[in-house]
Amino acid sequence: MNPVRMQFIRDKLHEIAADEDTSTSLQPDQVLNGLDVLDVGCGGGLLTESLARMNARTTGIDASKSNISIATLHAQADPRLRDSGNINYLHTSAETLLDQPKRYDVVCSMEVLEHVDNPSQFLATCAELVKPGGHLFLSTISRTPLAYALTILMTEEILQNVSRGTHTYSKFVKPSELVQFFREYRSSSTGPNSSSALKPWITTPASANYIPRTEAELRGLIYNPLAARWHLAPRDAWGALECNYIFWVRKPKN
Amino acid sequence: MVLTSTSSRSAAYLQRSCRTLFAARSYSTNVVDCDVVIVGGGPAGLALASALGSSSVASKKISVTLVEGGDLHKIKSWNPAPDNFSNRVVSLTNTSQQFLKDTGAWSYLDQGRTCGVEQMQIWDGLSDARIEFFAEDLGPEIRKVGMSRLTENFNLQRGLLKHIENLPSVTLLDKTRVQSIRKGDSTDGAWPIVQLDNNQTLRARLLVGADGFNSPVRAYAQIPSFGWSYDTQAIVATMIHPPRGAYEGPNTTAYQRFLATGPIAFLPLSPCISSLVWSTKPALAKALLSCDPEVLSAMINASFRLPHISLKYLNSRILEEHAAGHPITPAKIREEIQWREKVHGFDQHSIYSSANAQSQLGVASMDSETLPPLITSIQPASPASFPLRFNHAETYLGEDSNARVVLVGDAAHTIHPLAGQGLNLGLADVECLSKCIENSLSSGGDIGSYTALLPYAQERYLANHILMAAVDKLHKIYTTELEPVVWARSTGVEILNELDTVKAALMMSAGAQTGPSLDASSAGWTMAGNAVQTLASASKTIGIMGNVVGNVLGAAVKNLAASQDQDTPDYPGILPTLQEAQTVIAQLTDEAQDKRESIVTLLSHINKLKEDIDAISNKLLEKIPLSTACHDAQGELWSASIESALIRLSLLKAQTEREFYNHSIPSTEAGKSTTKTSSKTVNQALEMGYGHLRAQEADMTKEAHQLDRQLLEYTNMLELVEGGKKGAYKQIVDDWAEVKQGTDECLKDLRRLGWTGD
Repeated sequence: MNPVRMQFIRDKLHEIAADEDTSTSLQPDQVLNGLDVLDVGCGGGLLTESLARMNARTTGIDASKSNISIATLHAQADPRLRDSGNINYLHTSAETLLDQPKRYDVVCSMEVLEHVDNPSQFLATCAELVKPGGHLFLSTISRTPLAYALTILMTEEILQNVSRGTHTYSKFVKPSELVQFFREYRSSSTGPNSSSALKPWITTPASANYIPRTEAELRGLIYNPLAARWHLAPRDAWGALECNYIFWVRKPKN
Repeated sequence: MVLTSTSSRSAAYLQRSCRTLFAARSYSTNVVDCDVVIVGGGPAGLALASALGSSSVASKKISVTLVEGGDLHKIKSWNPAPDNFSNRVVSLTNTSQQFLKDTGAWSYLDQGRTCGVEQMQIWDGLSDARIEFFAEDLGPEIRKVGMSRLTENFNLQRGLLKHIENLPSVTLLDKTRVQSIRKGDSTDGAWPIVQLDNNQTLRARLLVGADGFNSPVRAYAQIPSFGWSYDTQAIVATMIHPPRGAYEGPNTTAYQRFLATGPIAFLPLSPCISSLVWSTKPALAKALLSCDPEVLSAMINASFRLPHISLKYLNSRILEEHAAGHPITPAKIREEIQWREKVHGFDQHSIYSSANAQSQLGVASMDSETLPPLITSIQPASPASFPLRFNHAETYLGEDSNARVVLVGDAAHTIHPLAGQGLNLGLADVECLSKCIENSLSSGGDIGSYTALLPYAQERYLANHILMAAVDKLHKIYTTELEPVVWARSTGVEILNELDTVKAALMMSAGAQTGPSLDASSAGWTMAGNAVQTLASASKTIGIMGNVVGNVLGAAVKNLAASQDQDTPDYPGILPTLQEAQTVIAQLTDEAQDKRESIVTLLSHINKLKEDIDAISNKLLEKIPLSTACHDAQGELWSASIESALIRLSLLKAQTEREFYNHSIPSTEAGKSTTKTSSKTVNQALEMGYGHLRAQEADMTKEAHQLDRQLLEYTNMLELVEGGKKGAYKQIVDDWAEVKQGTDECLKDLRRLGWTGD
């Protein structure tokens, strides 16, 4: 799934950069150069390494100590990553990072949301860690019968290639719930400019059934078992958000 | 192994592009970290280095090191006389040429030493069934460039080397052999460690095996390969002949005749020089190469002209004389050939006669271009031979503990040269692999990882396998003469069908440049379908033959039994044996029948599936008006952008209008206050006017609301237009291609099932 997620992150950042400066000559593969990126729940560091290879100053955090040591070891084996100094792993939680002043241009949290007990608190924490004008990328699974059939019934019960109990149906999050959260969410930080704190991240009303392209985006992630490959569904593809999906939202600027 | 000082000259050379890892824990020597290590400096390895080194993405992010045991400098400084041609020649399809043009290597080839093929003549040595291709039939673009372009391997290799010279991210290590490849420490990611014979050690992020059929890299990665050697040797030589006459076309026609011993091919290089690729039995190849070169040229001429029966006789004569220890003399073979020609009633002036080899002046006969020109001599030292085989690695990627290994070219697959596709397959591998690496790099992937390389294996394995299987099948069909079944087939009606597969195999690559990719894949599809069909009919024939033999034997046994009844014990004990034989044959016949039936049912399933898929594909294409034609797509793009521009305009208009109305409303309010100070009549008039204004204001607010709604709608529409461009259609096409691939894979399995029954 990783190449598809990276593709989405790269292309979205490039799209926004090109929107803001139409004369930019920035190539999609340079768009992460020098950005401060946080990967929440980095696991073995798959996404973290990819981000670091794109020259982002990447911090990967995970609540599991063994995950962090595996990820550190893996990155050490790659001479280019080791020498670039772009990777920094921390065994900590996102909440703990809030105490530090550092905020990030991009915060990613892939396939984590469906495992946390208090999703709105988790979302608020991730949102807090984003710089004004920065980006938040989330990927998770929707709470639909199809998602149940594919991610729990199929992978855990029938094929058993994922250990039983990995996923809990009730913890799955619907795309509309994510969108609603960012319509209502207001930053709690007492930043230098409080006006930005009051701005919603998604400005269209709930009744509009429409999200501005420059504020947030939802895309389905679809697995093709024949090719053993993940695909990024086109925008607004019918039924694409029924199972795995990726979500991007941008923090309003000051 | 103890390696102390490795600060050799070439180590310093390497460090230019690779960084040294001094803190190696378990090595007693310096280990140089490299991104891509290519083992093998053949055309495939060099093409990969040149593609990666010239790619704008890859050259910035990764270093490439190519290791070759031979002396590449010799090839780089290769500078033969204009009329002297090397014996190893390659036919580059237009797809391959385009790839070399894209990387920038093509311009480094000596264009004067290439020859575009404008015509192909292919015919059967037994039935003379002939098929012809003309470049102009394939469209105006192909007509200009030819169906493919012939050139010497050295010209290609030299061009690639000259191109690589200018690429800073590529390091060439020639005259350097790989001593061993081992797996690195697991704490170090278990990356492959390549030990060279110059005391250098490379640690590879990605190890590419471009090291030919006996690939050491494949052995290291423990990738099994399956295949067989054909009982065939390919003779190559550079042939000299007079130029084509004034009333004939130029020497741009390739000829191939399928003899019972293997195909013989004539590949034009220049007006009076052409290259030979002659697949034949090893004993015959050995005997021919030990004779005077004049014998070889006489036999080449004969092999394109004489009927099968005479060739068989001539071959046996050559073998006899060779076995007797005195190779046949040119005079003797010429005498034999002339006698055979007389027997067949060849006219002295016909193109089939070898007599006019020296005097090809005057007006050529009508059919003069159906045969290659007569060879007058062979370029000295050019004849050589090598064994042919079929070989396909079971996978192109090292898995699990042997990860970070990928195979390209002959290391992955070896093929019979009859369709001239071996090197083209290798270049297609290289093109696909370098694209795959670029894609991975541009999304931060680790190019050695299985995920990054999987698309390469998925795209190439099946494509290669289908073509390889088709070529193998062709070889087998055309080299059997003993089994009466296949004899009947090759001289019968089905030959046309088979020639169609040759056509498909050649066209698929030749026409790939002009046709959209969907067509190319369906050509492969049809070919695979044909292959299964042929299998089914072959087993059917075998079944019938079994029945016939069974019946004949049965009759014989009955006769014997009858004679025994008449008390003539001439053949004691033979009866039970014969009866046993009969039952065995009956069993075998039944088995063959069963197998045939299962194949036939499978075939009908496949055909149904094929039909369904074709129907769906047609419907899909109908439903989606975005046709494959470039013009339509462009038209749509234009209309979409015009539409979006219109919407943008409306948006602007709406915004300004809203702006205007919002401001105009307070100004009517001001009008109301002035009425108070005016006189009564004026007041009344104004009140009336005010009422009008109020009504107008209400209308305007309504309109403003309406405009607001429209505004939102326009934004939505803009979104839709911009978002839609990326491609629901492309997604469908991609998925569609994948469904096809999957079904192709099923077909492959089926073919395997068929082969075991053969």
